[in-house]
Order: sequence, then structure tokens, then C-alpha cells
Amino acid sequence: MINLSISIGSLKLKNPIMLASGVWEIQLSEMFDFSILGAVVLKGVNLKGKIGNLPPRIVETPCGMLNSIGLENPGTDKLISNINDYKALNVPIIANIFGNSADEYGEVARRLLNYVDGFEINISCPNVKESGIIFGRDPGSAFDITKKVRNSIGNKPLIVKLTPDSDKILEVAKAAEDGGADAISSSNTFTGLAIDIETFKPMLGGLSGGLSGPAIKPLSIYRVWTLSKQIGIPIIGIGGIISPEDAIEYFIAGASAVQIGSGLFRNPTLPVEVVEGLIKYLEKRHINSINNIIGKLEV
Amino acid sequence: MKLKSKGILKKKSKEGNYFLFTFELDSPMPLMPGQFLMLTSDESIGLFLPRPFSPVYVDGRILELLIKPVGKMTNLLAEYETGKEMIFIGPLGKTIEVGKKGVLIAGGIGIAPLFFQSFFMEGGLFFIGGKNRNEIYGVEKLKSKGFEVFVSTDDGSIGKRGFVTNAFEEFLKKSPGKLRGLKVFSCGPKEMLKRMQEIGRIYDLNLFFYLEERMGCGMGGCKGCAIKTNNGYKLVCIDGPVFRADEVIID
Repeated sequence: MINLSISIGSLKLKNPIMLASGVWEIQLSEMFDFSILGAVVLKGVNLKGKIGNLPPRIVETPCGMLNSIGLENPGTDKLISNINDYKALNVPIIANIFGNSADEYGEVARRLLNYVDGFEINISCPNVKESGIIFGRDPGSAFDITKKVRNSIGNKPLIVKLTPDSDKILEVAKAAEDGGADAISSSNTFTGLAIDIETFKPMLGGLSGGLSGPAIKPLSIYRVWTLSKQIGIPIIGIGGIISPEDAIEYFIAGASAVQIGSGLFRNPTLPVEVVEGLIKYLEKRHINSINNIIGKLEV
Repeated sequence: MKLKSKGILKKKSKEGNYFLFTFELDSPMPLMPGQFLMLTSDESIGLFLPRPFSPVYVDGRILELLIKPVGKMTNLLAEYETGKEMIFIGPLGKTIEVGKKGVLIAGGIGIAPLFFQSFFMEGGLFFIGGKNRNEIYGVEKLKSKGFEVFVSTDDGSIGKRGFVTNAFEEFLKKSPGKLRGLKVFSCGPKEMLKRMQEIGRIYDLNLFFYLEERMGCGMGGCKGCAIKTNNGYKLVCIDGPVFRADEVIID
């Protein structure tokens, strides 16, 4: 029996495969049994909700896509009223939260505390002006927000989701660790721009967007590798996973878990394939624990 | 229940400017009127996103798509030969109440979902428009299904010369009241739908639009396919793709 379980703070996951925030809804559970997953991260939520950005909101780019959704969400109370739908998925659920201030982050976390199994703090959305990425580029803000949320949630698992678009990634990661984070998600999308050369206008209603997909995989794996040497808490790798092999690369680079994002769109049963492929990979090599490959890059 | 199924291209035929693809799926995909599916292939990772398509015909494991080569995926498809394997995800989107009889108004490749819808009806009026005769599909089949068919083309190469919206409005002027109680469904380019919206307002029609938007997941997860409506943003994939015409805001 292969041991795939990993821990994020007080939360033990049966395997390290998670669904990322903002790429799935309940409807996806018609495609496969969510209980095969380690955990799922819910769509980002703030206190009062957001209507989202002007369409068009997505555009395909080489080996990836740009999105400018703008954190559309119905607000914390509405999420709570629907929470049983998510609980019925029979998998640990992690709320992804954001706000305009450390206080809002803390308040959203406090309200959701009894309804979810953990929290992921979003300080990295590239598509909203007033919150998100600004905090993720400033170690002081990252520390304040993490600490505020930590104070709201006691010993519940707490993850901080970083932006890759910063020259202070390490400082922000350390600030999150110091503020009480149990893990780091690395990372959110890369800011990008796509232009319609006929109209001279941006392809997205929100002008720029966040790049995801295989195009960013090596960039993200590099960040996971460098961060994993510098911080003491687990890292959750995100970016461009479309196969079990992609996930395995992240583990070898130093990720303790991975999140599957926009790769779901072309292959909604990808999470099943990644879990099964990971087991096969370990079995074939007679490796009895996922821990035996995490961070084992030979250099 | 949604599913992912492989499908093999069994037949491909040129239909004027369009291609008719006949796929045989591993598992039947019971699509209902209004619904769509996502199409992708293993090899086309350069085309990262799956593409939403309406079926034009479904029977068990047989699925037909009518495609106009306009973008990367549709041009790629146009080059595929029989035996090619694709991946299908569906059924997606809300199904609709079509009514026994109704009025269908198609512009260009907008014929596809309406042609599919016609299989669930007993007849009615079907207005078909296109740039020229190479963009008019399915007229004889629709007639044999009991539809009265009105064809118009921009260049007059078949049917009446002019826009399909002109032909439709002329009909309304001549036969006011004939559409009472009937639902009107339309699919086509944005300019056409704008005109349809005006006509719908003037003649107080019970009018519905099939809409499309660039799409990510097709299942309400990514919120990428938002459109403007009088009730805020809605998602084409789960709130549609068929919407009340008086609800949507077309830019």
C-alpha cells in the first residue's frame, strides 16, 4: 500500500491532489467522484461579493489561456447558504478568501470558520484593482493579513496563495510563514496581455489577464523549487498540470501537494488520471510513500 | 449526467462553405435542444481550450456537427480525415422547451443548433439566411420534416436577396398575428441578433436567442463565458446558451 497522505497544518489529506480555486463548480462532480481527491479549493469569496469583470473574460494563448474574471462571487453569506452542496462532495473543502483590507480577510474567515476544513488566502489575483495582488507584493501586508486570518480561525489549516509576479516572492512567502501560514500555494497566474491586431484593442474586457496552462509550468516549477529551499512550511504547486507526469515534476521540485487548474477544461477527468497515474508511477518504482519523492531533485 | 467520450470521425462531407462531420462516440451523449458539447483532441495542446459546439444531429452514439472553418480549431477540424479521434464533453447547458410548432431564424452557421432543435418539433416556420448559396444548409430536410422554409441570401444566389431579418420582418408585416402563441428562436451573428431584438420588441415576439461566448470549462466553474443581461452578468454555459431576447444586452 502506497502512502500518499500529506498534512497541511492540522488537516491530513488522503492524497496530495487538489482542485484549484476558480476552475470548477458543483457541476464538475457529475464527471467523477470528488472523494478520490485530497481536497478542493472553493472559488474566491469576499464579504459582499463581486459581479466580475467586463467580458470577454478569457482568451486562448499558446499552450495556455489568459483570464480576467475579476473574482466574480456571490459573497460570504451566500456561500454559507450553499455550503451543504459542497459538503456533500465528501472531500475536505478549503475556502479561498480575499478582501480590501486585513480586517475584511479576517471577517470572511471568521464567518466561514465552522463551514470549511481550511482556508487559502488570495493575495495574488492579477485581475482586480483594489485587493489581491497588491497585498501579495508587499511582505508587510502579507504578514498582517495572514496574522489577522490566523487570529480568526484558531488552528484551522491556513494556506497563502502567492503571486509569481513579484520581485519579493521569497520575502512574501516568509512573511506568510511568520504570520502563521501552514502552507504556501505557488502560485496564482502570471499577468499577461493579448491584443487584437485588427481592432488594436485588448482581447480581454479587463485589459490584462492571468496566464495559466502548460505555458507557465516551467516558470512555476522553478518558483516551487527555489521557495522550497528557503521556507519551512509545505508548498502546494500550481500551474500547467495536464498529466500525472506534470504533477510528479512538482513533487520532485519540492511541492508537498499540487492543485489542478485550467487543465480541467480540456479534460474534466484529469484529477482521476493524476491520482491513478501518480500511484502507478510510485508502484512501478517500488516507492512506498509520496514523501520519498518530494523535494528530491538531484542537482 | 455529463460525460467525456472519445469519438471517431466516420464521415466528412463538404456542404457549401461548411463541413458536416459524423462522429461515432464510445458512449452515447443524450443532448437535448439548447444543449451543447465541448470538443477537443489529445494532440492539439497548442489549442489549450476545448471548443463549444452545438450538435446538428444526434442519434445514440452518432453525433453530427456542422462546422464553418473560421478559427484555429475549426480550420484544424476541416483538415481532419475519417478515422481521426476526438474527445467530447457533454451534455452541457440548459435544455429548453421548444414547443410542438415554432419559428426558427438562422443566420449563417447559426443554422446548426436550430436544425438540431427542429428534430424535437413537429413543424413551423424556418427562416434561413446566409451570405450566398454556399451558406444555406438543410432546406430540403427541413421541408420534409414539415417546416415552411424561407431562404434569403445577401447576394441573392438562392432565395430572396437580402438579410434573413428582412425576410422575416416582411413576413410579419404581411401576416400579423400568425405567430401568436409561438416561440421564436434565433441564432446568428451579433448584428443579426441586434436587429432581431428590435423586431422582437416591435412585434412583441416571444423571442429566444442561442448565444455563444469564449468558454473555459463549460460547467459554470471558471465564469469565463459571462454575457451582459438586464439582470447583471450571466454565464452562457449554465444559464444558457439559450436566453430570452429581451433579457440580453448585445454590444
